[in-house]
Amino acid sequence: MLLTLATFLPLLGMVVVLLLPTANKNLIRWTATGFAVAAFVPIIVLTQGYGAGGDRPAVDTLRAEAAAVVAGAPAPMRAQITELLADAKSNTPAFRTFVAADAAHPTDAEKKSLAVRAKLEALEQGGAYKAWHEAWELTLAAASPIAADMRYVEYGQWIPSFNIHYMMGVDGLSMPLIFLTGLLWVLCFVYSFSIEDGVKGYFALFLLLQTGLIGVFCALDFFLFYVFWEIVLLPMYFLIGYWGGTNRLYAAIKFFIYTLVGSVLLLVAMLALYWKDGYDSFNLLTLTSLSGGFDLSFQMWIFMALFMGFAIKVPVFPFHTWLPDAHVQAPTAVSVVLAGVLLKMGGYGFYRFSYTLAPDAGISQTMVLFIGGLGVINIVYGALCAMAQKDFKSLVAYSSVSHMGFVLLGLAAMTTEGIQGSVLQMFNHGVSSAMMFLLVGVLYERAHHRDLDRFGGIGLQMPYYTGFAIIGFFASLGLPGLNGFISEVLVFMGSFNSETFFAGNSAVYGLPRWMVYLALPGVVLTAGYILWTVQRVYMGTAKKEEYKTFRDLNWREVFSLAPLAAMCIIFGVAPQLILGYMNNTLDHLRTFIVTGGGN
Amino acid sequence: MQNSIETARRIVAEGMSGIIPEILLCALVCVLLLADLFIRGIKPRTTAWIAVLGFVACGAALIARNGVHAEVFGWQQADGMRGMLLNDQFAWFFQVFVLATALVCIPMAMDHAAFRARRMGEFYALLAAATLGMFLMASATNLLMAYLGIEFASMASYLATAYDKRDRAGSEGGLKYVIYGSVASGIMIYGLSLIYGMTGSLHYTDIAQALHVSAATEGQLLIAAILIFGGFAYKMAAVPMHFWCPDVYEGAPTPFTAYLSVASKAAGFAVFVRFLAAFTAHGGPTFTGFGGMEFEASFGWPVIVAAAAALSMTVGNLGALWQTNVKRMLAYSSIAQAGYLLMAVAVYAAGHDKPNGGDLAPLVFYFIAYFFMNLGAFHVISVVGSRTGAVTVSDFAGLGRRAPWMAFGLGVCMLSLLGMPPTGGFVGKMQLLQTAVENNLVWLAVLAGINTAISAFYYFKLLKSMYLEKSAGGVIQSGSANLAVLALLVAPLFVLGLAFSPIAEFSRGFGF
Repeated sequence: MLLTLATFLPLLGMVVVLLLPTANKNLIRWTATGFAVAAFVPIIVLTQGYGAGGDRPAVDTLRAEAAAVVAGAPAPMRAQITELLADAKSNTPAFRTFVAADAAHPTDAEKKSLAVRAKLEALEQGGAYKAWHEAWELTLAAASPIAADMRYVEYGQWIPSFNIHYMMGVDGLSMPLIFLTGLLWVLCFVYSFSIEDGVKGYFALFLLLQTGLIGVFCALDFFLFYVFWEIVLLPMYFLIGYWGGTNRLYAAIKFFIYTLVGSVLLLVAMLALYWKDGYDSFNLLTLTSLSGGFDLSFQMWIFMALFMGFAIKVPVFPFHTWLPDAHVQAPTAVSVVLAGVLLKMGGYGFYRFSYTLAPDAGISQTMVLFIGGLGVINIVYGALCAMAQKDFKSLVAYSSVSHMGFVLLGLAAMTTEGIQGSVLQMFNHGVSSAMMFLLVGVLYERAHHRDLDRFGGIGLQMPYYTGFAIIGFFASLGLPGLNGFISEVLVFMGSFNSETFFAGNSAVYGLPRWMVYLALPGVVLTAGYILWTVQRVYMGTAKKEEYKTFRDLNWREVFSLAPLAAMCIIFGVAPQLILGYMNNTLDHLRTFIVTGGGN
Repeated sequence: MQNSIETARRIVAEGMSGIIPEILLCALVCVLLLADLFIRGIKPRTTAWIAVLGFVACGAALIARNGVHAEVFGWQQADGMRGMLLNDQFAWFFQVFVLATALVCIPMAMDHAAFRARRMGEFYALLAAATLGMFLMASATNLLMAYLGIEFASMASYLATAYDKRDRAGSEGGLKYVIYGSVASGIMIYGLSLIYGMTGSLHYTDIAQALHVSAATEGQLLIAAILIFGGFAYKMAAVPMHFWCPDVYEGAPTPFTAYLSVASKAAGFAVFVRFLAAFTAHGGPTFTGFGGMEFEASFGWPVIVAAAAALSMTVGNLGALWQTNVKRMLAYSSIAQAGYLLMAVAVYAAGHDKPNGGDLAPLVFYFIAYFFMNLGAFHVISVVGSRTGAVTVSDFAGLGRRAPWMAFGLGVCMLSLLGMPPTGGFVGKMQLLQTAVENNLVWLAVLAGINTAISAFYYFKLLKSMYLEKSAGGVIQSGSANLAVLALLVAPLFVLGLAFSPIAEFSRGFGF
């Protein structure tokens, strides 16, 4: 119920906002903010309850659902169903069309398969096949290693003819991202009070975007996930296209088409998985408990198709070119959520889908080198690009490219520290990049330009603002004591260790150490562009007279910046607060992947 | 002699009861023409209501025919009946589909600006005649009948396209339609004559059996197949016979463009799929090809259809990118849509004689979604065009403010045509992709995916124009009747996208 509330309250908010009178802008603003706050409440409850007894483990929920489905089947067939479910992993729908190589003389193994087929056919005749299929899906889902840390699972029928269910749940991977989404929306809405043109559409679209995002992080049914994934695209297009800068139409359609290419490949992968061996399942947990058995070439294809879908979102070099355009043109709040959570959809997808549905592909030499290599390129190339930018916002956009490279590097390393650092980096980047875009927005609202070379001396004029700016930029730089440091160090530790850690393991290819050496200059470059930026913008003397008239932060800006600054410091000093949520989940996930899906 | 005349009389007498909806359509055509001729000053509204009544009566007769499986005008042969038409579930679906399209086009025509001060009886008569032709296309099991159905539907369509005599574009479109149509049917009938020469029969079942033992070579069959496909592709508006489509769509009165883009395409698919099913039944004759490989006569069809699918979607989408006229753009879009639909047919051609291969559900489902999204789009274009004269994409600027509901409806239709959730177009396309992936046509599915991304560019041109570009124009009064029609066309798209289970089950009932 909590997840449904968190996901669909914003949608309800959208409807309410659309019904309000257009002229009453303040009413619209406050109503929208009210709904963002309302959606944040269940999220807070989730974070408090997760792992603290206020929740029900997924395994229990799924088993109970399976039992209910069996109980709902026609009475004479129940014993049959239970019998088949006893070994759910071997008695799969794959045998429904099993044919022996030599029909007259089946081998012993084939006889077993034929027996399963006969049972399935009996179920079909007894009208219990659907019930068995659903119970089978649920039983396997409960057995999935991913389900071990899943909480607050909600399950219901949606589209029975395609075995599509409404299935939501959170674990340590999605929880921080959901929290970040809920928080950023409240902050962004308060910040967006300065929007004067098309207020109604702006807030309505923003609320729709929130539904899409929280849905993406909660959905455990592949079809449901895809629907949410696509829902995110549309409001984003209009938000950039209507409220953006001068070149907004170009940036909006570029964003849309890039992402759509990825989504479509995602769709093909999704359909291939549904069809695979006749399993007919969109249930992510079910598929993960079967994925170890997929042959390597199939996994490679799936991995690549999913990779394309997620890599464009992250964005991974060379698919990143939409990002600077979108960021530079987007209004401030849209940039904030774009960098803060939209990019994380890609990283989240890698963990939730790519590596769990194609674990053997993920730990193969090809993919480790591929993902790790792209991570290194992202880090270094992104930093170099950032250094070359004249536009403040463009610089922050490229810094995102660079920072998301750490996510890939830690992921490719597959060590405990690497993965923790990688996921933590997603969260930390969500905090610090969101803050940086807010900072740029604050300055742009006053100066009406973002040319780095024309600033200077802002520090004297706007001391409070500059204080926040220093926290935000140094967190992004990775200064010890601030959050960015923790995740980057973890990623480096993890990836540095990978080669030795997996030295004796023939199944897993450790990330070679030379890659880490290649990534190291990225840290120096990052320090370079950030310090240079701070120097050019905040230090020195004002290059223009009008800068002396700038007023310091108003209450709205303080309201949106302060929580982020606090998080930069808190999670820099006490990373355990956030790592505590992730540890178990990521451990299970990692074990699952490096053992090739438990096989 | 006496005996055979008796037999013929009996066959005709028995057959009459099987074609009551068709007879009603014939009667409707006559009534409309006569009313137009003899009632002085008959109002367009009156003829429209006569047409509605006629179509509803036909629909009632059609609903009564649901579940029937019977050859009409049939004669007995050793292994079963042979007839001219076969009333079965497959034909029934497409007949209902075509009839529903015709019904939706009537309110559109009533609202159309160029039609307001005219006698409209002839137009509705042509609409009914085209519908009759498409009824025959859907149920024909005899090459001659199929050909006549196609010609009948085409003739009526030529005239309706050029119905507005003062409109130069309409006349030009009509003329081009006639020329392309004649070429296409000429090519097709040449192919048909080859088939007749090889098999000595016109009935699908006999052809299928004759092909099985025919002495025809692979090359001969391939030539015949390609020529015949030309004729069908013309009706489906698929590559390589798609050239007429943009000009005709642009020139025809918008309500009739809507009818053409939906009904005509559906009938084209119906007649083609039925023919294909017969041609490839029994596995076809076995040939020995290069390198001593054995393959069946149906070998050519999956390749031809898959190639046509790939080309149609690519040509359609690339062509649409450069269009500024909305109707031309949707014409190219409909070529691309034919390409997506042909994916399902390619899968069907490859595997309908194998277990689980004969699934026409994706095709049927997509057509249901296509009905709503394409008619919805043309409805808005017609309503807005009638009031503002809008023809190009940029004429739709600011529609989001000028006519919010119309813009919203058109936007949803565009998203659905693009295949975005949560609309019916997405679910339809998902099923098409799924059937392709499932049957080892992954390359085609990936190509369709890439095409989808390309198509976003032009579908979004309209969205961009409506919502992101400003215009000085005032508010457009769309009229409550038009809004009601729009709601009836757009709301089902969400049902098809979010709660499509019943429709998906429903769409499974129309195989052979």
